[in-house]
Order: sequence, then C-alpha cells, then structure tokens
Amino acid sequence: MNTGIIESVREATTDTPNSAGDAPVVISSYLALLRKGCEEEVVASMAALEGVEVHGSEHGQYVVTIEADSVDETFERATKITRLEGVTTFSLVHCNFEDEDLGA
Amino acid sequence: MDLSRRTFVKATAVSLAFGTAAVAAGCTPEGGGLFGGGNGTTYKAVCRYCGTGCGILCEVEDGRLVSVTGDPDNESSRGLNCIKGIHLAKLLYGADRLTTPLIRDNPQTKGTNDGLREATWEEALDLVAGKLKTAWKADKKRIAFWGSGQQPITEGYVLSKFWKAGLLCNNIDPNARLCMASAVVAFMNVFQTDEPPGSYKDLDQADVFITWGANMAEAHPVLYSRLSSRKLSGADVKHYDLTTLITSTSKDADKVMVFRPGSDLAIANAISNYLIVNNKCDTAFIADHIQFKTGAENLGNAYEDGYDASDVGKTVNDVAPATFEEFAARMSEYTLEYAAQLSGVSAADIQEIAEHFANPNTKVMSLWTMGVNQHNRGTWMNHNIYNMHLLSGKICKPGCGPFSLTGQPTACGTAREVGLFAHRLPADLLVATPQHRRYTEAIWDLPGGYLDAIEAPGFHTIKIFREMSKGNMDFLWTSTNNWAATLPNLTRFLGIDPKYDGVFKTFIVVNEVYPTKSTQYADVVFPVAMWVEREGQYGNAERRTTIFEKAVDPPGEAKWDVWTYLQVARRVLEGETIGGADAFDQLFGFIWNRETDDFDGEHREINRRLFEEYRIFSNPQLKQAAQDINMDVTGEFEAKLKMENKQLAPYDEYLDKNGLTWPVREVDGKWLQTSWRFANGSQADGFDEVGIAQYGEAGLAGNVSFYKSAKGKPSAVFRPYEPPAFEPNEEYPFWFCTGRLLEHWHSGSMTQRIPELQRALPEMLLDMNEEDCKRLGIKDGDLVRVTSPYGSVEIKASTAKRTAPPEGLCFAAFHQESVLINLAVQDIYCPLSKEPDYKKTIVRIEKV
Ligand code: SF4
Repeated sequence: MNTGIIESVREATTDTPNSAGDAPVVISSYLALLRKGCEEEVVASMAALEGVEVHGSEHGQYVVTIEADSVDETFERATKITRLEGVTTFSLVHCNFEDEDLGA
Repeated sequence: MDLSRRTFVKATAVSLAFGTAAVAAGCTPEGGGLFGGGNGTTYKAVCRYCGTGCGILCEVEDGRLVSVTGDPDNESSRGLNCIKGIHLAKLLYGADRLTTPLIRDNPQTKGTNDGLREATWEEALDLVAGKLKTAWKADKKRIAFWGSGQQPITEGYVLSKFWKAGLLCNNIDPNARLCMASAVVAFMNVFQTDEPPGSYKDLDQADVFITWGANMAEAHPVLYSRLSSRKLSGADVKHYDLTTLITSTSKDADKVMVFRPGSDLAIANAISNYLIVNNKCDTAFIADHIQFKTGAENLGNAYEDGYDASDVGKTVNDVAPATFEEFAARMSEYTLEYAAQLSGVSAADIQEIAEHFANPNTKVMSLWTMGVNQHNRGTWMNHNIYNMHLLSGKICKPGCGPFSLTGQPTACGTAREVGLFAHRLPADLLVATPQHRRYTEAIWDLPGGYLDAIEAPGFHTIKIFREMSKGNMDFLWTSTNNWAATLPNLTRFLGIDPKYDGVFKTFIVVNEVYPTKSTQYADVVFPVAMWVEREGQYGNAERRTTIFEKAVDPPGEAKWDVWTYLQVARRVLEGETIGGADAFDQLFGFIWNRETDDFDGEHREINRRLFEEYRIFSNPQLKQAAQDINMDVTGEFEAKLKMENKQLAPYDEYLDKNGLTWPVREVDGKWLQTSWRFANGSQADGFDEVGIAQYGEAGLAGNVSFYKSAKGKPSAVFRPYEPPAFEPNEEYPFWFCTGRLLEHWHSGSMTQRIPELQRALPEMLLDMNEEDCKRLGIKDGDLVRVTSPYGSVEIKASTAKRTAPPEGLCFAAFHQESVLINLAVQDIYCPLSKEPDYKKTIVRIEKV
C-alpha cells in the first residue's frame, strides 16, 4: 500500500466528517485512477472536499471514502470528484445507506 | 448511526475498496471473500443502467435495501460500479412510483399530466385485452409492441412468443433499434452471427485503443476505467480518440482527432487502403478467412415514409462477390490525403493509426457505440471498422479486435439474443427463413408450417411510429422504454405537428414504474416491478448472461411485466386454437395455472422454466424434433443450423457463477464460458475449443476458424463515403449532435423522479463553441432556441466545456423531459439497419 502522498495530504488537510454521533450518515468507498504526474495535487483536492478521505493506494488505484448525510449528497460529492482535473476514473465499490429512509 | 457502527461501516467500506483494487488488478485479495460486515441478506444483481453489465451485491434488511457493493466475482466489472450505482437503490423508492393501474377515459387529455384515473387490475386488463383483440381481429398490421433492451431475458422471451406465435404478428421491435441496430446488421452481414468475437478481457491486453465517436468515459465508465488501468499499467499503451467533439474521453487520450461528421467512413477506408497499398495486410489470414464483396451504393436517405419500398430502398442489402483486386481497386480512392480533405484530420494522424494496424505485433482494439451506430450510414461504418481488423488479422486474439459497446443492460441478451425485432425469432433466427421457422415450431410445439404466417418481417421502430402518427395504428403497447422522450422527430410523433395526430387516435398501453412523458400519452398504464423487485436476466456487451435475484417486493399493486403479458394473452387468446389445442395453454400452459389464473409456481421456478425452454434454442440436443432440423436430417434445407454455436448453460449455473459468457460448454461435467470466439485454444482458458472441434477447422491462419460464417469466411464489404442526410447551410448553419452524460441515463425516466437527486444532476445544456457564441451574441447561460427542419426546442447555452464542440457543431444530452431535444432531431435512419441518426441534425440557433 502506498501512503506517502496520502500522509503528506493528511498533514495539510483537516479531516472533518460532516456529522457525528447518531446523525444519519451514508458511507461509501471508491477507487480512483489519477492522471500520472499530478497525483499529489489531485489527492489534495479530493481530500479538501467535505466528508472525503483518501486512504492510500493499491495497484495504482486510490481508495477514497465519502461520508455524507444522504445518498443525494453522496452522489453530489462523487460527481464533483469525477469532474476534478486529473481524475481519470472514479468508481464506486460500496455504498451503505442503512440510515437513510429511502421512502419505502 | 452511532459512532462504533459508523467506524465499523467505514472500515468495511475501506477494506472492500482495497480488496477490489486487487481484484481489478487480477489478484486475489488478502483474506479471501470480500463481502461482509452487513447484518442483512445479500442478493446478487446486475446494474440496470448500461450495457457494461456491472455486478452488484444488494444487501437487504427488513425488506429494504441497505447497501450496494460491486460484485468482485462478476468478471465484467470485477467489483467496480460507476457512481450511478450510488442511487440505484433509491430509484425503487421515488414518491411517485406507480402502484395502481391507470385508465384514461378521454384521449383529448393526452400530452398532459391529467386524465388518468385509478382502476382495478381486472378493469384495466379487460379493457386492454378487448382493445387488442378487436384491433388484432380487424387487421394485424395495425397493432404493435415496442419493447426494450432493458427487458430481462425471460420477459422478452414470453413477449416474443405471445406476439409472434400467439398473435402471428411481427410488429414488435425494441428500443434497441435506436441504439444497436446498425451493429446488429453489420454483425450479420460480416459474420452471419450477431455477437462480438472478443470480450472485456481484451481491454487488459491491448496496446492501442481507438474510440470511434464514443464518449466511453461517461457512457461506459467502468470499461473506461479498465482501459485506463491498462494505460496506466506502465506498458507503452496508446489511446486515440476519434470524435466530432471533445469529450471527457478525449481528456486523457494520447491523441484526439476531431473529424467532420460522417467522414469516419473515409478515415476507416483510408486505413484499409493504407494496409493494401503498402502490402501490410495479413495475407495468410486473408487467404484462409476472408471473402470480399461490394454492395449497393448511392443509397440516398429515408426522407420520405415510402423509402424502404422505393426502388433504391429495396436494393440496400444487395451485395455481390468481388476479388481482392476489385475490392482493393474500389478502396484505392481513399488515400490519406482524400480522407484528410473530407474529415479535417491530418493525413499524418490517420497514417499514425494505420501504422499500428500495419504492425503485426501490435494489438489494436477499436471501440464504438452510438456515434457509429446512430449514423445515416451506421451499418456501413460498422463494416468499415471490421474491414481494417479483417485485413490486418487483428481479430479473435486476446487484446485485439473490434468491439461494439452496447447502450442498454440487455440490448444483447434480450433485444438481440431473444430476438425482439420485427424480422427475428430467438437466437439469431429470421422469420423469413423456412428452416428457422421450422426450428422454432419444433421448440414451441407448433404444427409444421404454423409460423409461415409471419414469414414477412413486420414494421421496424420508425415505421411503427410513422404509421401511428398517420393514424394507421389502432393499438400500441410499450414496456421498459420512454418512447415519447427518446424517439427522434417528436414534433411529428407527439402530434405537435397537426398533420400527424395519430398518437391521439391510437389506443396506447404503457408498462411503467414512474409517470413519464410516455404515460402522458397512454390510454392505460400498467404499474410494474422494477430492477430487483423481481428476478431477471441480462445479457451484456461481451455475451455475458447474468441473473439478478429478486431482493425486495414491488410496491402497492405493481406486478411483474410477464404477469401483465399473460393476463392479456389469456384473455385475447380465449377461444383460439393451435393444432386443435387451446392456444394459450399450448404456448403458456407450462407456467400458468388456469384455476388460480396465476403463475403455476414460485417466482424463481417460473423464471427457470422459461429460461430452460428458451435454452433449447441454443441446446437443440434437449429436444429431438429441434435437433433433427438443426442437423437437417431430412436434407430438405441447405445446411445445418449450428444452433449450439450460442450454447447457454442451465439456469442454475448462472446463479452459481455470477454470470457466464456464451457459448458455455460442458466439459468434464463443468460449464465453461468462452471469451474469444472462433479462436482455437483451451476452453478452460476461454477459447472456443468446443465450437471449433464441432464445426470449425483447426490449423488455419491465426489459429482461428470462423465456423459460423458462410463458407467459413467473414465478408469484407467495400462501403464508400456517402455524405450525411443534410449538410449545414445558410438557413441551418450548425450540426446538432445528441448523446448522454455520466450522471443520467437514457431519458431520465428513473433518475429524474427523485426530487432531491435532481440537485446533483446536471441541467440540460446546449454545449456550444465560444466563437459561435460570440458571433451570435450568446452568453453562457442564455436561453436559446434550436430549430431544425423538424422542430424546435428551447435550452440554455453553455460554454463550460462539459463537452467542447468545434465551431459549427453543438451538443446536448437527452435526459430531461422538460427540455425535449428530440422535438428538433431528424428521424432519418440508416437504410440498412433503420436506426435513426441522432448525431447530425442541421439546426439554427437563436437567442430567445
Ligand atoms: S451504469 Fe454501466 S458502468 Fe455504471 S454501474 Fe451501471 S452497468 Fe456499470
């Protein structure tokens, strides 16, 4: 696992989950492929987004999580990441929305 | 969620992602099984959006979905989903899900949000069956079903059997006509089999990728991710993006070549010609495998309704054999310079691609989808791509080959493999071919000759709707599509042009999950189950059949589509007989209980029985009468059918394996899939060993044997450049290209139903070139009117470069019903495939 870039970004950003305690939360994880040569900047701009954390990389893919209040907010943040310069692809692995009343 | 649960869920999410990174790289993750951590029950599923066919594990607790995870055991997606997977579950729970049947009493309310009232199933079914029976008895040409590349396999199969054998009517076509028909016709013309020879595994091994008019990064994100992983793997891998406008797929391409709309035909021909004149063809491959042809030319365009029956329209499928020299002579016009002049791409750039094809050691993969298919010469452009690969022998080898991407989750599995087309029967069979009808009769236990009544193909999609618009349709039933938003030329088809008011006169039935533009025109709406509210099966672009399990119940009174077909079939076929037996019992008695007037068994069991009957089409050994026709034991036909060529495995194999690519072969008691068709090698490694041993020939060039093609040789057919149906002029100075973006899918009939989700979805915008905007005094965000010879639509202009069109071209996606861009889109279609050209309408743009 490569955490070099991640550590340097962690130092520069504060990880502030957007809600704590018993508030509803949707937690999702992703793999991101980043354009070669600009990984550090892109990791930093991802991690700067609210509720977004970058956990390291494996086989060239960066592991990212999003914590948000709802599925919609999750989607909004994920969409933002797909549009960041240097993000080649951003794929969903897991999304837990057990807290959310989907309207059923 | 309390803190400890939150910590646990997050840790699970992170470890799943690390594990999936290993799976995507082809390694086994440490610790084995990936999925875990949830308290619920896990069901296997497939995404219901695009043709990639990503596997998804759905976790259910107390009857509701609580999480989704990319399925690591699904080989198409290897644990990945695109971001659309985030809201897949939420789609089931929109506030305005349809839960009761609806009836419209006054057709004059069509086109509005009013006029539909709630009804009981009994009333709605009786009404629909009565209308269908009356219309059917009066004139079979005046009824039609418009199906979908999103209907699961068993649903499409029941429908096809009902319409073709029950009603003896060929007026049934899928929305796949709008997206895949050009690919299909070319597959049949070139290979005589409708399928890609390669698989997604080629993405992991290619040296050069060429995207032809395809925004793969947004339309097939998980496959694009696989392509990108290959590119980033360190090998010297190149990606060329040939496109008419800059898209997200262009961003990381090594070279982007923007060509003039329609000139892709000439670029591909110039590459073929380069191989010929420089003696860079694979001559051994050609000698063993290729036959050459020329075809009808100067086809004009389907401007008029009578085009198909016109003198030129009747000749469009004509081909004649040619020698290699004759083929080469026709191709010789396409010098690099000529293609450069037509396309605007430099001769040097075209040559750079040609040299990759010329290098025998380079593995080249061509990828295309709507840009090639929705083209006034869409079938020809598919041909021209195959020509390059056939001449260079770059086909049927791992990492190599032409790969037609599909738009919908089961355009291959249902529309194509089940054969929901006006000219088809299941498994590539054609209504017009006697042996094919006999074979189908044998499987469906019909008297010999029974299907001769459907010898003539029915209406293709555009013909159905053109006839409807003229008042020549009495009954139309649609399912799993949103025709009132996705058809081209909606100004005509929705009766906005008062000359065409047929939509108000036709009795229209719509099976739907949400209110859509199409339900606004429905006389009856049947509320149905969606996605994992029932069990179903999808067939994706790489021949993979995958089952999705029923995970939750449909809401309210919503029913499985198949139940609606059979309830109507039971009523319409009352009193009808087939060979002296009750018609309905003859066709559907094996799944229906007359006494309870419902399915004769559990949901899975009904699916299994349907699939097992469908499976006989590709396993003739399961039924002697079918096998006799397959093997032509009486000698009355020209040849064997070779139906085992697309062999499917027993239903339960798919449940065990999370999907298998056909043909699936039984070797030593195990069912093994095929990744590379017609390529010899071990079946266990994914090669077509069993098929070649049965019908092919070993030892041919490239270790390939095209045993399904006529004379064992695919056809390289010369197809020239012919211009688009319209070229921009003084009155209409722009090309208008339509397409799709990552966040939405199709017409937005599902994604747009969740109000909160709307916030995150992009507004429908007209992407324009800045210079054009300057000239017209249009600023970013201004409302503009786009007018074509077909109609007009108002939309906001954008210069934000979500896509960046060159001067003279504009682009919009078609996801939003409130901005109905298809009002302005032409309904001109490829003369061979009848697939409309959504990419090249001519328009003018004015600030509102
Ligand atoms: S939309 Fe397509 S790429 Fe995205 S998850 Fe669904 S099948 Fe996969």
